[in-house]
Amino acid sequence: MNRRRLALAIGVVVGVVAAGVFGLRSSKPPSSPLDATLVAVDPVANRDPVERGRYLAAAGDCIGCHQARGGEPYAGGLAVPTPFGRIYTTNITPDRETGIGTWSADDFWRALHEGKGKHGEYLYPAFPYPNYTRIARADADALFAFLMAQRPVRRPNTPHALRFPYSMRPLLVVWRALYFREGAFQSDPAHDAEWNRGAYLSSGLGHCVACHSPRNGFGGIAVDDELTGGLIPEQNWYAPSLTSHVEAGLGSWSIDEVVQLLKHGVTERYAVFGPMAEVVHDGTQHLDERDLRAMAVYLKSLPPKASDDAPPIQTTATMREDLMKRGARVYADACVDCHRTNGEGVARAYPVLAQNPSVIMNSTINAIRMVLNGGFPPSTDGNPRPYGMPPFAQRLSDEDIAAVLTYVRNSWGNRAPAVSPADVQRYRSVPVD
Amino acid sequence: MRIARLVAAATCLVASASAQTVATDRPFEDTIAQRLRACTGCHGDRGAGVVDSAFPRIAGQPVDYLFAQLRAFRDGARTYAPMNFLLARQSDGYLREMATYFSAQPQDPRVVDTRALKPVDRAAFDAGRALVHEGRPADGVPACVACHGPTMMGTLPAIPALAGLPRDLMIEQIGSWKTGGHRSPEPNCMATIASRMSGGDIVAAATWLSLQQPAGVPEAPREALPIACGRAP
Repeated sequence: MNRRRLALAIGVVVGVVAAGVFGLRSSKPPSSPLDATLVAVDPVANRDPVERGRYLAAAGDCIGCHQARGGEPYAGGLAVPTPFGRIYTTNITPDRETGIGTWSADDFWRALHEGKGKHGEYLYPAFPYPNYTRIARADADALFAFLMAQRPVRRPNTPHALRFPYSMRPLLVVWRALYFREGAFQSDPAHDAEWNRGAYLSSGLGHCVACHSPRNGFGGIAVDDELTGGLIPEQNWYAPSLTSHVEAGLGSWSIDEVVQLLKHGVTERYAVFGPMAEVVHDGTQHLDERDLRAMAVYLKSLPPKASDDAPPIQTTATMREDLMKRGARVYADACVDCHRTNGEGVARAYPVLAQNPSVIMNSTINAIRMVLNGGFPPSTDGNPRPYGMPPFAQRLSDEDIAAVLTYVRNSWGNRAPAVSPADVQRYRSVPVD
Repeated sequence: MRIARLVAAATCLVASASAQTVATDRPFEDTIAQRLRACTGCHGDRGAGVVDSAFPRIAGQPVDYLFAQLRAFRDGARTYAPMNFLLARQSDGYLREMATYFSAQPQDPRVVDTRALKPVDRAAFDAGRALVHEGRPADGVPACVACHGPTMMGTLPAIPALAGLPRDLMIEQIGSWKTGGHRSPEPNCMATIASRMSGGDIVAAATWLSLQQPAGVPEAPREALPIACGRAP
């Protein structure tokens, strides 16, 4: 993989010369007015720009990246681990020296729409401009107005810690040629306004695709694979499919349940965890229910795809018998009080384990990390005092965790491959923070 | 008659089967204790600590102390990855409720009783007792009791109880102040004090303190402390 990447990168240096000639042509920002169909169903269309911007910043969860833990909002500094090195998020407060205080609305638009900085330099696509390019100009302007109304924070940007050759920004011309198309959101006349609003939010500002899709060795996403689920590189959480695949995706979800999850962080059956807890906490809980419904309607319309990570049909393996017995004992000792004997959990408190995609999906990473690290769903307005799950890393051995997960993945109608102690051991050392 | 018996037997079977399913699951209650099961796995029932564990007892600690620690974990000012992860998206209101709950919980004497059954380094124990009660004025080390209270059960509003905490945890914590790993609010009084303690001092104080049975409640607030201490905003 690394050799392939390197070969690609080297082969591409030639292209950079061409880029110098053609790639850096500055273009006048094209205007992309908000579609009239969409304006009609935009719940914040009539708010003043700063308030609209505040709302849109939540829709994009800008703060999820542009605030370090314990740091100032929008002042950046969060280290985002990638397979190419660490990207440090930037200061987007209106500080004139260290933030974007000297930017114009056109500069800001160009960053979102074209993925270029104030001086025309290519931005690293950890900033999801392949999605943000679909944001309408009016919304970009509102976001900019909101950011300019924030308190300026002096925090010089931390230089990225990327390995060669990824540290060479001009090389991004190649990545862009492969994976970035500048464009505007086009509403689809075959669908109603609600669906289109959902598509606009999900595929643009919401950038769901950035996590919920598999990425190739070069960090790109193939169009056919969009939203079929993927491992978030370096962070080691698996963002599940959002298509209508029954086992892997949203096939068994009602539109109401999707709305509830995004609004409260919990539903009758499930709870968010890992990076999605952050998205709900910082972002989606603040959105109007009409917008959440629109996103749910759009996502629920996506057909299952070939690349959905479906759990394979499993035949009973003999090695599992020991694991199953041991797992049943661990379950009775550590899990049963909350998740109950029949794995049905407790509504809005403890998730259902039977037929839970996070439990039975092919990738065992989420299930293993949930048991190792535990967690609280986010404290939201709709669920301010969530029920938590203790971390078991300190109390259960690799063998016990493998056994209990194998048991859970093969009880109450669940059928999924066994979990090995080696897998558990592998994720024990993954940094949790 | 036979049929009646059969029916009775069948009824019993059904009854015992349903009694069994009911009996296996404990009734679910919406209580703060239930919501905080995530904490008690390591900190023990009601936060009273766990026998043979290096995780601290949190029961009975001053409420503002617990609240400040919870916020410091959430915001990254205090580093312990599992706690940083757990608390990342919890509100001030909920953290305050957690602190209030654990602050009001009783002690479990078994945690210290069990420790006392093991061999103790007698010299360290005696040196620790002296250091805790008298400090070492020549080196500018104040007596622990001057701030943490005569029974080391803490002082309101935010100075923690140390009596009966795990020895290894206290060595690690005081050591972190000494080596600069602990970023407490300025003035960082514990960093100053720890810098004046030797490794032997730290082990001695921790040894004696870990064998004290926690009893009683935190002291009323004091007007003057022997050294200026910052507090979380």
